[in-house]
Amino acid sequence: MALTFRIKKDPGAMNNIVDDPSPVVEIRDLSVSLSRGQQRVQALKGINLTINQGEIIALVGESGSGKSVLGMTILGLLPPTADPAVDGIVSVLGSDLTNISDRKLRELRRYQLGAVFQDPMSSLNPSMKVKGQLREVFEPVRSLVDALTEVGITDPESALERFPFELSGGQRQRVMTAMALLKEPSVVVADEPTTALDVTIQAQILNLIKELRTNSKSAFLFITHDLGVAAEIADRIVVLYNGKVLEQGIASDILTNPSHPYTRHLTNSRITMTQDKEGMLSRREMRVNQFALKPEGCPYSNGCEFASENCANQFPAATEVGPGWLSYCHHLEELKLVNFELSNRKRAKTPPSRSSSEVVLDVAGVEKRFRIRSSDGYRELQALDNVDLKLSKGEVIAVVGESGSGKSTLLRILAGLETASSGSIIRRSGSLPKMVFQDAGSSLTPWMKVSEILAESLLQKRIPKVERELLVSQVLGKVGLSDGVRDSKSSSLSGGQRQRVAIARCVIDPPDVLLCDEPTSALDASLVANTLDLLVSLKDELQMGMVFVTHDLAVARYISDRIMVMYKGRVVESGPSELICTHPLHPYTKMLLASLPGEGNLVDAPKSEVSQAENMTGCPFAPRCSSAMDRCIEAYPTSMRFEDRRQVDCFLVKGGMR
Amino acid sequence: MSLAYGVARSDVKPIRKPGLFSRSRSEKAAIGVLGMVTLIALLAPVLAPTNPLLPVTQPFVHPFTSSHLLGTDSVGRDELSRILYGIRASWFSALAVIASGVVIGGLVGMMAGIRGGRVDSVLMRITDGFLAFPGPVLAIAVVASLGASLLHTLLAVAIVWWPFYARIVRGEARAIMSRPHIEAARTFGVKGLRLAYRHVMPGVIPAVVVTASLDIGNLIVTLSGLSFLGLGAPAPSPELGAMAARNLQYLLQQWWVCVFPAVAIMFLALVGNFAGDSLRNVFDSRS
Repeated sequence: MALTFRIKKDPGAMNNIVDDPSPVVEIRDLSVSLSRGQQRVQALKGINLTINQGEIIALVGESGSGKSVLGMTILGLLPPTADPAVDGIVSVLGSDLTNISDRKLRELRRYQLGAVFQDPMSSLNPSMKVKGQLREVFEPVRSLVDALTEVGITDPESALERFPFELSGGQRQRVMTAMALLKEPSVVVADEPTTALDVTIQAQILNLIKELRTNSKSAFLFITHDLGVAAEIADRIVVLYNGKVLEQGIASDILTNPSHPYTRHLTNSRITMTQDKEGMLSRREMRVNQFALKPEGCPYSNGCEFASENCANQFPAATEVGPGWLSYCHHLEELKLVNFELSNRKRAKTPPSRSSSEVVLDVAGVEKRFRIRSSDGYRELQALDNVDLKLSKGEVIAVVGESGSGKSTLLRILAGLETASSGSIIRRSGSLPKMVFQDAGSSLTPWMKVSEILAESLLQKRIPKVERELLVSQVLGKVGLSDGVRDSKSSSLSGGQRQRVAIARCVIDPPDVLLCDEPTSALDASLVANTLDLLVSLKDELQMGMVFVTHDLAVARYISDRIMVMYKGRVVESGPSELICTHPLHPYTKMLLASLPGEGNLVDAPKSEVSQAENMTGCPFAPRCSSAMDRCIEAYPTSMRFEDRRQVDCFLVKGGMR
Repeated sequence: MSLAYGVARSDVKPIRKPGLFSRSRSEKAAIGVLGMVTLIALLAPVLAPTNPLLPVTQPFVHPFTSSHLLGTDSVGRDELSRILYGIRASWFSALAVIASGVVIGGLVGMMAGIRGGRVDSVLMRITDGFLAFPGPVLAIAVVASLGASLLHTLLAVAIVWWPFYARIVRGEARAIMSRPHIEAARTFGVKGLRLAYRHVMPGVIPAVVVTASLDIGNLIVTLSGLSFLGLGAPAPSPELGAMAARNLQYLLQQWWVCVFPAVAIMFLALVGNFAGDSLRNVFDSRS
């Protein structure tokens, strides 16, 4: 297998580090504890970190690792309600934040610190026009129109007069970025700034940040859970786990040859476009809690396959693996002997993909129109336009597209939660498909016990109690949960456990068709791998057909036999997954593929915002399409059909059957 | 079998949550005072030293001096016994009205909140109609036509009381209906009573419990007010509002016959408010 990450070295970025090593942030022995409810939580332990001028540091870690706490500490914004206790030195431009007057801190924040958060909607003031918010930061120093132009907003004059809710998600994040970056602060903390955005917009924002960094010499602490994003943007990477730094060094070193077992685990959990489709994603058994972990021990030792008793007792000292590359592990010597790309475990059974031609779900010409209120009365929104879908037994179809593509509406219609305005849906068994929802936690009734939630669909079938109990036990085993969770409620389960309960609920009475609505988008990388493995093996075992909605093409490619690419309610391209990913035909599919972070081709993504203007009669993608022609605006192209049930809706594609 | 999915069993230990007996202090306090007053009300016949309806000694015996702890009233009845019976009447009357409000309002509100659409509009307009009745005037009308009795007063108050609960339950039910777990339950074929009973109702209960306990004080004052106006139980039966009203004329000379019943009303109202506040804190901190 090739390297997991294909990294294009940006020579300018590397020079930044070498030429200009003056540190803007220096953190020494930082420990932070916060109170959550009745308990005190040690969020950060003994952190040492230096951020130099003009460099981008990616802080990676799973949820709960303390990465946001570190970001907030640098901004001096730890919530007073959590009663933070900070120990150590946090020096920003020479002032120690642990010992600073409120006035000086405010001044520092105003002129030297910038922040971009995940959800710009909640960080922008909803009752203030963009103009007013920018004016608080800039005027009279610079023109607001210039500021917005610089962050790639195409129509800055009209954007200034709008309220945040009138902007698209990408525009909001651009405005936020403008506020944080264009005052040229010394340090910017960006906390998952692209996580809530579509991949295409994410690519644009990442390119924008890279460009602005080169101009402004700002240093970045870029917090992310996505190693692909980190690979795309970072000069250096810091890996955080349970409040401890486990490894830090130059991004390309760490990503191509991670030294720490946890970093290896993270890089291995990532699903890439070259993932072996027959192999399993989670490559090893977790050995948990083999030693009693002492507070001063290595926090990863209870999940680590190399852990020894020494690990649980004492946190290892830093080992210098290479120049500027520190790793904290007792077993680095041993690890060098182990190939880091741990051997792929093959799936237990080879899936008989596209085996039977027995169609379990046949959707033809489905349309959905919503009446929505607009400034001048009601207007119609065409959410789905002539969608066809044919699903065979044991087959997986992935539906990909940006938000607003209609992929979720399609799924809701298939699940029976909405009715189609026209078109036909034929289900072989006549019963409704089962669905795994995006946010497993909120899809489980909070006051019901797991056993009751699972038995719900059996209750409808009037299956006797003894048998229900038995089936519940069986299905818990099937999804890898212990019988002990039976009496728990969803609030006391972890994210991964909740997702398993949600899946168990669907397969306790196996359906013909399983619908999945972004079941992995809210999970950490290692949980994503586990969940996908579980879904695939259940599908093979129970021979279910599966419709899997996702925005992540790498996940779609891995899990599916066929991919449907949707844009503004239409299926613009569909066909065998491998073919779609290696030889995309529709410009939109190409754009989605080019936007995937960590695949080394992000440079092609446009830096400025692209028009999302409505194109009612022609191809809806035309306004964003680089190869659009006049006829694209006038009429929608007829579908071209090729062998292997491949279909593309684009005038550029020739040679197929109409 | 499960190992094929790459998960070890020990991965899935549920996190401990506070159990049934680890209730918070304010929850204990709320349950404590409510229980205590209910116990007093229940045991009034045992606790009362004498029959509250019959004179036992001469009138206007001073309190804290003799065997009659709170003295005696204008006809020589034991004041403590009358107040205990009065608490019993007021407390259970308030609980009865609240119970009827929770049941009727709960049914109407659940139906409106879950079904939505036209059912919702019709039920809520009916509710608004009842809400428009002026309570005391209705009570006077009912008592005037059916005769003075505690039951008639309660009936009149109950008629104007349930719409309040219908609105609260409907609002909560609607909010819960828009949560994802309802949609999920629907895809699993859950509907009708099962949906209402297991997937919606448990979420409505906290708001209803808090409102109901805050309402106790409110109702005690309303009911005592009505009986102060003579719209309660007729003459000899001990009722706090009526006792305060009839003995108002002795306020300057024999203050206790008027003040003690009034203090009892105040005490009951405070207990209700205190319990309600405590329960609200408990539910707020949980959600």
